[in-house]
Amino acid sequence: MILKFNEIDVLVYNLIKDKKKIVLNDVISLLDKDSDSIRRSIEFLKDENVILEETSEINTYDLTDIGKKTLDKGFIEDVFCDFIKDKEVLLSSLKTLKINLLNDSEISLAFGISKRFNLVTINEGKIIVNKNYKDIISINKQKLKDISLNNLNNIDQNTINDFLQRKMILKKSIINKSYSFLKEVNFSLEKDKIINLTSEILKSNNLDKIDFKEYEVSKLPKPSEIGRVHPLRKIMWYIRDLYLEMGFKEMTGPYVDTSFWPMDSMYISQDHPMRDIQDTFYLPLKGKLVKNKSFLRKIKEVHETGGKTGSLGHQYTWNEELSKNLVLRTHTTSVTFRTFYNLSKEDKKNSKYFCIGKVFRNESIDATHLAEFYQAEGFVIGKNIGLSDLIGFIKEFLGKLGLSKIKIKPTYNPYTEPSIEVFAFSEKTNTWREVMNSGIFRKETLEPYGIKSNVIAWGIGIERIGMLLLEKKNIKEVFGDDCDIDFLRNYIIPKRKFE
Amino acid sequence: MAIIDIEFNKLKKEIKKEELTIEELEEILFDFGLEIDSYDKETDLLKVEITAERIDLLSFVGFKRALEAYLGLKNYIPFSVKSSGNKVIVDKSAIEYGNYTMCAIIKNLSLNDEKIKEIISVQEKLHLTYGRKRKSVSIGVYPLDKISFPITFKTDSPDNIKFIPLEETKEMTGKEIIENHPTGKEYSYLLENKFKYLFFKDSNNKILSMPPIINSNDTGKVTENTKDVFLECTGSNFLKLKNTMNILCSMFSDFNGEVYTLEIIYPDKTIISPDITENKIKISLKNVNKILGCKINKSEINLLLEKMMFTKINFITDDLIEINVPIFRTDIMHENDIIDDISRAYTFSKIEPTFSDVHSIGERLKISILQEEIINSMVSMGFIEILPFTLSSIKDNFENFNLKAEKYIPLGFSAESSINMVGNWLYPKLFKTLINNQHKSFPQKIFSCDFVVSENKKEDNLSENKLHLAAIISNSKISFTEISSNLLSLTNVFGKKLIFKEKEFPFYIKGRSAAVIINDKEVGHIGEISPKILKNHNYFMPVCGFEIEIDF
Repeated sequence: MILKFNEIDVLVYNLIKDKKKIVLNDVISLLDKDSDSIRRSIEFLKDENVILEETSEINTYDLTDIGKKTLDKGFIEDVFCDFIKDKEVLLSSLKTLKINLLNDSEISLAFGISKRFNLVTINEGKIIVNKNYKDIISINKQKLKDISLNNLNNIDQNTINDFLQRKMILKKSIINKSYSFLKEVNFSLEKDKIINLTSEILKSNNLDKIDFKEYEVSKLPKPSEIGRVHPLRKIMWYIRDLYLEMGFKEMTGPYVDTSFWPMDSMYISQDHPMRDIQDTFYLPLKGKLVKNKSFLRKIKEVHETGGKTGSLGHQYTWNEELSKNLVLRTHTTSVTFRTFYNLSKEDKKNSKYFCIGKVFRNESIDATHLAEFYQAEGFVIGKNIGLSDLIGFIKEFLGKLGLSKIKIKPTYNPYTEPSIEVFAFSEKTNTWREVMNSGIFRKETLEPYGIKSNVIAWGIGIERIGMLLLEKKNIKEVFGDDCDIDFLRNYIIPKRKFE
Repeated sequence: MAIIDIEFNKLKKEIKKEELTIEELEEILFDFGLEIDSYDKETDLLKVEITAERIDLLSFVGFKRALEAYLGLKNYIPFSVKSSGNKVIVDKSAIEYGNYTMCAIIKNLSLNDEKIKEIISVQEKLHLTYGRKRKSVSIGVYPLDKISFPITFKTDSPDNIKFIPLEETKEMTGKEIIENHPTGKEYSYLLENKFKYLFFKDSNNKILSMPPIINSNDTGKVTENTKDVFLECTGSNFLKLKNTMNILCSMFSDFNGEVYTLEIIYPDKTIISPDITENKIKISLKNVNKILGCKINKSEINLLLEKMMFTKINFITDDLIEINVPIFRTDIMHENDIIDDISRAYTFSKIEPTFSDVHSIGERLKISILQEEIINSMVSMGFIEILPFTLSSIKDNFENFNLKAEKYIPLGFSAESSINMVGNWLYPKLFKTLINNQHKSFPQKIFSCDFVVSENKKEDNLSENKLHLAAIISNSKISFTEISSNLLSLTNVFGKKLIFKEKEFPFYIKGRSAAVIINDKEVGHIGEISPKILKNHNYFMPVCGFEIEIDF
């Protein structure tokens, strides 16, 4: 068989044949051609079993700060021996010995090394310096220098270990590819075939005679590096689209809030278990309340006596100060009530709003628990709206998500009555799953805002929907700082609907 | 949320519905608004989750009472009370402390081991939930024969209160109990900064208990031989005390005990306890049908109300109904609470969904449109979006970047030890991602466009959410030109004027960083991260990037 070589294939073929074995870097530096083309040729020759690729790990060493200092200023054992050699130093006085340039620990280290390299011997309790110590040290110095230049030919492993132990050098491993020549082959040089179509060729006149080298079109390349939107962001955008399609307006609010908004403003009594410290981040700061005194009075009244709603109220003394404590919001309903506060007269009769935002729970973080996650929430104000409409809205909303089989259960919520929990059936897992919470806002929550119409609302956890649509089990794989970049690079676009 | 334990076979027997299966019960409870936590066939133990508002269901008898009515097996009949003629005197010192009490006497009980366990369990559950771990309500139960009336409720200094607490053999002072007794230690936080402690004593000066901590071992132990009991609860909210006592009396009445009242003599008034006056709430049939979206008529409503234990009802007109609320239904405070109960009796599955549209046009916020456009622009330049956490630590947010920790929102108590502040910029977050992906392929081009929290003392909440954009390129070779041309392309796309002005930052290499000025306003910085900062993060690849506040 005759292989078809291009010019570079020939160069690489001849070089490896000549050298028998050669490392990749040498191929590239000796040929002085475009390195991508060289790599392509190598791949081609490899595939044709003309050459063999071997990878090996090569150790090199860098000098540490200690190593650099030693090379520059000399070995501590040198200083030590210089000092000792003309004196009669007893082994027992080693501990009290003072040597200029060396500290105490260096002295004992230097002594240890000197003994190991036979620079000194002990005779009748005295430390005697051997005559040839300078020679031994200068050999060691040369070795250290060689290592620093990566001249490792004459260095044995013991020497390296010794320097490593003395923290003079640091090991670095690099992967090296080398190629050995396997067999000679017959080849034909495809000189006339054009690899790259260029502007010059196009400007020339004999376009008919161009002979293109064929590409290996069936071979898949590496995927290109592309940017991606975060998958959970996509889910948020999907949910946002659902609300927009249903005619809802977007609203927003702050993460850090006075407890007034996520609690007091919505009729959660100051003695309610929901305020318990274990779920809520209470910040060691106090904020301010709105300046509108008559509004605050209404909030106080509704808590204490039910105000004008006909409710009995919580029958306690509402403490304005407690509502100033700053918290991280535990639900986006604080945004709903901030929105209520600013609604126009018309909107108070008839409107639809939604928000998608982050909420916080004071929990320790593990594979299934996060201290923060995203929630979507929407409300509808309408004069004659009620529970059957809420169920209708939920059916429509979940239907758009592809969840058509649902069942609902009464539940308790301090600010809605009736409150309902919605379960959706998953055909895939053959189970009912809780998907959202909703209800009709209590009259006591609405009165201070002058909202006379009924208000229905529902909320949904973004992660819960996201994990299902992404078919992921572990939330930390998807969300957060320590997310796997390869997942974000390669995730499959989540479906917009459950199927 | 509390969970109660029920022996399923006992339940079936007592409600005389032996054929009931667990699946049927699950469906019934689903309509009623409760969920079965678990059922163990071997031990016959059924665990039911009770929602926070229904404290009347925290006992077996309370649960049975509601279920019997809901299934139409038995109509609820309120119990009656007799006067015991006994008195409890509330001293001025207890009022100054801020506490009140409600009490009752129950006679002719026949207790057994099972009932005593139930009393203890209800007491614990009420303490934990409604009583907010005894912060709001604390309950005591005493055998009546050990007590001589009148009883006094007052305070004294901790050293002067001396008695033998439960499970002890020797006398201890109030102070010793708080410091050494296991129950005392557990609840000691409730008495922090208190110079005086509360206690009950009888007419022989015998101390009965030291609420909200512990009873006396002499007078505070109910046994199978106990026929009559004295009940008290203490706390700062009168309504909660009244409700708690009524829940307890209803339970003891269901144990076939006779409920007796006492006079509680306050410095300024005398009240009769327990107070079993029923609240009256009016509902309108029109409202019921409007809120639920159904057509329930006058004849149906009676039955539905009975199912929820509202047996005393009075039609004022064809539309208006006055309802006596049973004393243990402490959750009912408004017409809508009764309408909710009606919906549970009617069952949700019978309510037809309606699609009456409230007309409005969908609309997005400017900032959310901007955020989406920025995200899309960054993605088009090959950056991967990171969705970072907002919570951070002083080390990550400041120290690792050579910044002084100032002007930030601290967290206070955090269950997670690795976080202690609300993050005010995005770089620390992107660095976390880099560190966790050191072994993945390079280049790594990541960004985040999300809200951070900045301190702002002018705002009511002392802070504001700000939209930031941060982008980072990490590779074995990086170029300042690349990241700055990315930013330039971005500002070009939005039609904004970009200027870089040389400026030093503690986390960039000197001479390789600039302030970012967009439309004449300094909004952020750009540069090559200094090697020391990379070392702080144990990160061994060059990094350059920018972070700006989105203010256009």
